[in-house]
Amino acid sequence: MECELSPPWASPWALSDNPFDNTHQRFFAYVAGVGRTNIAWRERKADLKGISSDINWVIMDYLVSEGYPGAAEKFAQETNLCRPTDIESIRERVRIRNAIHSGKIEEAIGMINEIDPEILDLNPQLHFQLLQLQLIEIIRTVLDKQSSQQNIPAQDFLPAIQFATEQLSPRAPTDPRYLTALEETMALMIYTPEKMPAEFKKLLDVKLREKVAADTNRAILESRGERAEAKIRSLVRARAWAEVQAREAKVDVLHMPLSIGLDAVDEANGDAVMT
Amino acid sequence: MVQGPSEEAIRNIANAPSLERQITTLRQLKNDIVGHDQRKELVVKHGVIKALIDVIAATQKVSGKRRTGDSNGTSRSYEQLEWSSEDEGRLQAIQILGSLANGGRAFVPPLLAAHAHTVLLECLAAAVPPRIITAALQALRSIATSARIEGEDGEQITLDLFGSDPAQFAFPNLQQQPNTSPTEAARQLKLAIEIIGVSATTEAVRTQLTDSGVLEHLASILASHALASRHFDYRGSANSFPPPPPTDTVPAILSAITAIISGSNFRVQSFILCRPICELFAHSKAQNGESHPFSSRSGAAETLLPPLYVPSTKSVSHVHSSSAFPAAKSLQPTIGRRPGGGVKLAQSTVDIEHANAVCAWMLFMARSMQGANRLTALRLVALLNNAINASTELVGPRSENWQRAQEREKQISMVAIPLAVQLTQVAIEGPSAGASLAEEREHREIKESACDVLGALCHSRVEWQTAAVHAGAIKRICSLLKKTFDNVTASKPMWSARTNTNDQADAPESCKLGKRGLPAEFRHAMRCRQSALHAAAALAKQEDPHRQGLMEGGLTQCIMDSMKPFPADAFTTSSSNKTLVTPKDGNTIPVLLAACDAAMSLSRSVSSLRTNLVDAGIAQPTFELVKRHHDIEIKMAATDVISNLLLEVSPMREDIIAQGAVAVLVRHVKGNDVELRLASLWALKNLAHLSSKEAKMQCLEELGPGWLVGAIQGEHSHNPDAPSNGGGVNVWSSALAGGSLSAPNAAGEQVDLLNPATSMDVDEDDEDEGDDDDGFSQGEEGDGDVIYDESSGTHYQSSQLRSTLHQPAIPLSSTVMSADRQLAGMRQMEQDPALKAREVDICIQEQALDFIRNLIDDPELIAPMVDHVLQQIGSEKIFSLLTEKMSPLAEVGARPVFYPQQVILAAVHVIVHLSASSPRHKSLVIAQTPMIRAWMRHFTCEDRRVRVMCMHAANSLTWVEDDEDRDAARDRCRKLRELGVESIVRNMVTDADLDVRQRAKIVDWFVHDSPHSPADDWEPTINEEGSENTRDNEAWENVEATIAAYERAGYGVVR
Repeated sequence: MECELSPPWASPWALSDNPFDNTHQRFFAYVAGVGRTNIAWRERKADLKGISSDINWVIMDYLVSEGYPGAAEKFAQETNLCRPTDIESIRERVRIRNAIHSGKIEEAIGMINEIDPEILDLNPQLHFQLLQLQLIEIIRTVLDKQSSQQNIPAQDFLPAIQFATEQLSPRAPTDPRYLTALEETMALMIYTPEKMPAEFKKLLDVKLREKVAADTNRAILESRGERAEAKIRSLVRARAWAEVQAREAKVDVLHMPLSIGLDAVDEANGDAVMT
Repeated sequence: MVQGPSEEAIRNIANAPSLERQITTLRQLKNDIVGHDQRKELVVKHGVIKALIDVIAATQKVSGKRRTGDSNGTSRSYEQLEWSSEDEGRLQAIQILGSLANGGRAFVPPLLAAHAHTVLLECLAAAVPPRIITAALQALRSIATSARIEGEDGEQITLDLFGSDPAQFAFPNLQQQPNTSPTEAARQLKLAIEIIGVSATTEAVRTQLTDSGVLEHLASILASHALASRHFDYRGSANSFPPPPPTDTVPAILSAITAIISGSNFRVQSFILCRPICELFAHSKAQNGESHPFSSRSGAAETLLPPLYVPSTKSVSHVHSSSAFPAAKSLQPTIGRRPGGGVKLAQSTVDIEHANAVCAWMLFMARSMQGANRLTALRLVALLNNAINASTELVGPRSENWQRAQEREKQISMVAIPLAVQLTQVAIEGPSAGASLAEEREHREIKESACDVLGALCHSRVEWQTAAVHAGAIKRICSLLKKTFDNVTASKPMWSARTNTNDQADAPESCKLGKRGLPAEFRHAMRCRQSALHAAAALAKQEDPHRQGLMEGGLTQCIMDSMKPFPADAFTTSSSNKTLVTPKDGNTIPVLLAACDAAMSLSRSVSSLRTNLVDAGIAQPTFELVKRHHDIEIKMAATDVISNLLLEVSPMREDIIAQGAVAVLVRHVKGNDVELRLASLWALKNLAHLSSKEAKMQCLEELGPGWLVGAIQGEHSHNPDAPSNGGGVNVWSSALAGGSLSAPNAAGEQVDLLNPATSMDVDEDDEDEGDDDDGFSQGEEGDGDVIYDESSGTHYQSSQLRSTLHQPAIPLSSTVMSADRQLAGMRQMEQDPALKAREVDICIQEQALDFIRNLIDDPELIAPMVDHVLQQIGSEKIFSLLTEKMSPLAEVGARPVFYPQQVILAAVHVIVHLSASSPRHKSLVIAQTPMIRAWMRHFTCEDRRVRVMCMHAANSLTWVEDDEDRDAARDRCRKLRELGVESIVRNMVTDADLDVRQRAKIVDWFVHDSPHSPADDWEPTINEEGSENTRDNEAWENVEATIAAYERAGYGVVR
C-alpha cells in the first residue's frame, strides 16, 4: 500500500508530485478511451477495477484537503486506506471554515494566527479579504437590526467606521485594488438594502464568505507545504480539456456528464461545495 | 489612527497577575499586530521586544528544570508531556517575535539589539516541545530573511546566527528527532535548511558551516534523496545516510549548499569530495563496472542525460583565446612540449571523473525541476562547473582528462545553457494572468536571478558564451535590462490618521527601529538590473561579435545609466518626496559593480572603445566613480575599467588625463588598500604606454622614483624584523619554509589572478617519472613547492601547493585521505592572509617593472626617456633591482629557487627595452656583468615568452646602429661571448619554439657571420642548412618582426 512506501515525511495519501505518475497515466488512458467505440467499454471496465484503489485515494485526497475529517475517517475504514494522521489539523481548518461561514471573522483570524501567524503576515491580500469581510459583517449586523426602519441613524455605523479607519484604511493606499474594495464596502452604509445596486449587494452575499473561506483553506494548506488544491480538481480540468480537444479534433466523443459539482464549467462560480 | 495594543498592554505582559492573563494578553497582542506593520512599529517603540524576551527566558528556566527533573533516562515523547501554560506563553511570545521580524528590515536592528536570536537559539538547544522548536525556527528564518533585504546602498545586515558552533544549531534540527511527528519534523528540517541558505552570506559564516560539518550533512541528505529517487544504482549500504527528505525540501537543500560553497573553490571541492558524495558515487558503479554513473560511458547515464557526441579529434584548439585576436595566441605560454623535457601533463587537483559526474548529476536534477527550483539547481551546476573548469584549465589536449572535460563542457553548452536561456524567456514573459501569490513570487525570483545564473554558467569559457548567444541570450538580456529602467510606482506607505511619533533619542536600542531599506519595487528592479549586467559582462568577455550584438541591443546606454549612484539625499528627504525617485535615478552598490564589470568587458574591444563607448561618453561616469565614490570595491572596479580606457588605442585617453587622472591614480597607489594599489598601478602603467614624453615624466614624478623602487623591491622587504640578506629575498625564504606562492612561476605554471586556487600543478608525465624520480620526489616531500625544470636543471618556486593525488584507481579510503590533503592545500591557498598578501605583492612588483618598461617603450623617445629614468631612479639602482629579481632567491639543497615567472618576465622586458635604446645604453647594459650572469640562467626558461624576450634582448645588444657603432657593437658581441651568452644562444637554435629558434639564428648570425662580427678567430659551427634557413626565412621574419613590434608595443596588456 502506498503509505508504507512513502517516506515518513509525506502525508501518506498525497499523490506524488510528478505530474506523470501512475495515476495520471491511467487516468489519461481512461480519458483517451472515451472517444472509442463501445467495444472498448469492456476493457475500460477492467481498467476501472484496476484503478479503483487509485480512485479511492483521489477521493481521500479530496476529503482531506477540502476539510471533511469525519467522512475521511469513515472512508478510510471502508476502503482500508491508511487513516490520515493529522485529523486534528483537518479539524482546525474545518473550525476556521465554519467560523468564516458563520461570519465570525475575528474568531477565524485568531484561529489562523494560532496555527501560524506567518500565514497572514506574508499574505496581505488574504488578510485584507478577511478584514473586509469583517467590516461587511459589522455593517450587516447594523443593516439587519435596522431593516424595518427606513433611516438608519448615522451613529450606528460608528463601530464600522472606526474599524475601517483602524484596520482597512491604512492598507488602502498600498494597492489600488484595496482602495476600490474599501470604497465599495463603505458604500454599503449609504444604501438601504432594498435600493442597493447589484454590485454592492454581492458583497452581502454569503457566496463571498465561501470564497474567502476557500482561499483561507488554500493558504493554510500552502503554508504547510501541502498541495493547495485537491488532486481531483486538476483531474477534472484535465478531463474537460481533453473533451474540448477531442471535440475540436472532431473525434466522436461519448458524452459523460460529470455533474457532481466539480465540473470545470462550475469553476467560474467559485469552488464547488459538496454537501 | 493606528490604535492597537497600548503601552499598558505591553506592561501587562511583564506584570501579569497570572499566567493565564499573560497568555491572553500575548494572544491579543499577536492578533493585533499580525499583518499590521504600523502597529508593529508602535509596539517596538513601546519596548515590547524586551518584554517578550523576558517571557521566553523566564519560562525557559521553569520548564527546563521541570523537564530535566522528570526525564530521568526515560525518553518520553513530547506528545505525552502535557502542554503547560508556560509553554503556551512562550509559544505566543516566540510567534510575536517572528511576526515582528516579518515586518521587514527596520525590525532587525532592535531584535538583534535585544539578542532575540540568541534567546531563540537557546530555545532550540533546550528540551522543548516540537511546536516551540518549529515556532523558534520560523522566527529565526524571518529574522534572517529580513536581514537579507538590502538597504539604500544595497548593503545587507550581517547576522551571526550560528555563533561559535553552527553544528550545535543545525544538527538537532537536521536530524529527525524520534518523538516529533513526521510532518512536524519535515517542517523543522525545511526551516533549518532555509535558515542556513538565507544566512550564509559572509565568508566567515560559510567557512564555519563547512568546518563544522553542516555542508557534509546537507550533502548526505541530498545523497539520500538521490538514493530514494533512484538516481543511482547503489550497491553499498544505505545505513550511513539519513532518511530521505521530502521532495519539496530538495530545492532548499540545493540553495543552502549553493550559499555555503559559493565564493570559494576550496568549498566547492569540499562538497564534491565530501564523504557522502564520494561514497554515493563509489558504490554506484554501472553494471559493466568501469565508470561512474553520469559519465557517458556508463549504461545508466544514457537514460538520465542526453548522450552527446564528443569529437575525439585533436584538432580543436584548447587554448582559449579570442578569434578576434589570432595574434594573441602567439603570446600564450605553452606548457610543456619541450624536446628535452618531454610532455608534462598537468595532474588535476581533483579526481576529474568524479567531479564531472557530480556536475552531471546536478545537471540531471536541474532538468528534473521547474521554474525557480531549476534555477537554483543550475546555479549549483555553474558553481561546480566553474570550479572544476578552473582546476582543469591546463590539462593538455592529449590527456584522457581532457576528453572527459570535453564531455562536461558539451553538457554545459548543450544542456545547461539552453535551460538558463529559456528561463530568461520565462522572466520576460511574466506570470500568467490570475497567477497565485506563490506563482507571482516565483516569477519575481526567476526575473531576479535567471540572467545571473546564465552569466555564471558561461563566464569562464568562450564556447559557453557562444552557446548562450546561439540560444538567443543577447536579445533577452537586453530586453530584461531595459525593462529595469521602466518607471515603477513605489507602493505608497500605509496611511495613518495620526502623524508618526518620532523616535526618542534616549530610547534603548531594542526600541529603536532601523532603516527601512529600499522599497520592494526598487529592490526588485535593482536585483534584475544587477543580474542582467552580470550576464552581459559574461557574454561580452571575449568575443567581439557578442559585444557588437549587445551594444546594438542598447547595452552601452544602460551601462551609462547604471553607473550613476543614488544621490546622497534620495531617501532621506521627507516621505512625500519619496515617490519622485525612480529606478532610473540611481543604483545600489552591487549594481554599480556589475555595471563596471560590463563596461570592462566591452572596453576590451578596440572597436567598441573607438565607437560606442566613446560616443556614449563612458569615461566621465567611470572616472567620477574612481574619484569620488566612497566604496573601495567600486573604486577598484571602476579603476579596472579606466585602465582599459587609458590604453593608447582609446580615444578617451586624453580626456581622462586632462581631468587629472594621474593625480587621482597616484593617490590611490599610495593609499592603504593593496588591491586598489594594484589596480591603480596597472592603470598608470597603461597610461604611460606610448604616451607623450610629458605624460610619462609626470607619471614618474608624481609616483616618485623612491616609491617605485620600494614597490619593485617588494613590500615585505621593508619589514625590519625579517633578517635581511639583500633586497626582498627573505620573504621568499619564509615562503619556501611555510607555504607557497600563488603566482605564475618560471616553470610555466599559469595562475589566474582572480582565481588563485585555480592553478594546476605541473607534474611529470608517468613515463618520465622513472628518469628523474630522485630529484623530483625530493622536491615533493622536502619543500612541497619547488618545481624542477629538468631541461635547464633549475628549480622554480611553485605557485601552488603540490598535488599529491594520483589517478583514482585506488580504494575509496585512500581517495578520501588524499582528497583531505588536497583540500587542506586549497584551503591554505585561499585563506592564508600571508599568502594572499604575497600574491598581491608579487603582482605589484610585476606592474611596477612593467611601468618602467612602458616609460621607455616609445621608439621615438627611447633614448631621452632611458636617460631620464636612469637619472631619476639611478642607473645603479635599476640594474641592481633587475639583478635581484633574476637571481635565485634561495638555494634549496644545491638548487636555486627563483622568483615567480611573471616577475622574471617583467624584468626581462625591461632589459629588452634598455637594450633597444642608443648604443650608449647598450654598452651600459653590457657592462652590468652581475646582471647578465643572473639573466643568462633564464635563457632556457620553461616559458617560451621569457625565452623569446631573452632572444630579443640579445638581438638588440648585437645590433649595429650605424657606422660609428660598428666597433662598439663588436665589443658588445665579444663581451657576450666572454660571458657565455653566445654558447647558450647557439644551443637555442634547436629550440622547440619556432619564434625562439629564429631569433636565436639571427643573434647567432650577428655574432658570427655579419661583416662586423668579432669572429676573426671564429670557426663556423653552424651547419650550412641552418644559416640558409635564416636567409630563406626572411619573408617569414617580416611577419615575425610585426608580431614582435606588437609585443613591444605592449599588446597583451589589455586586462
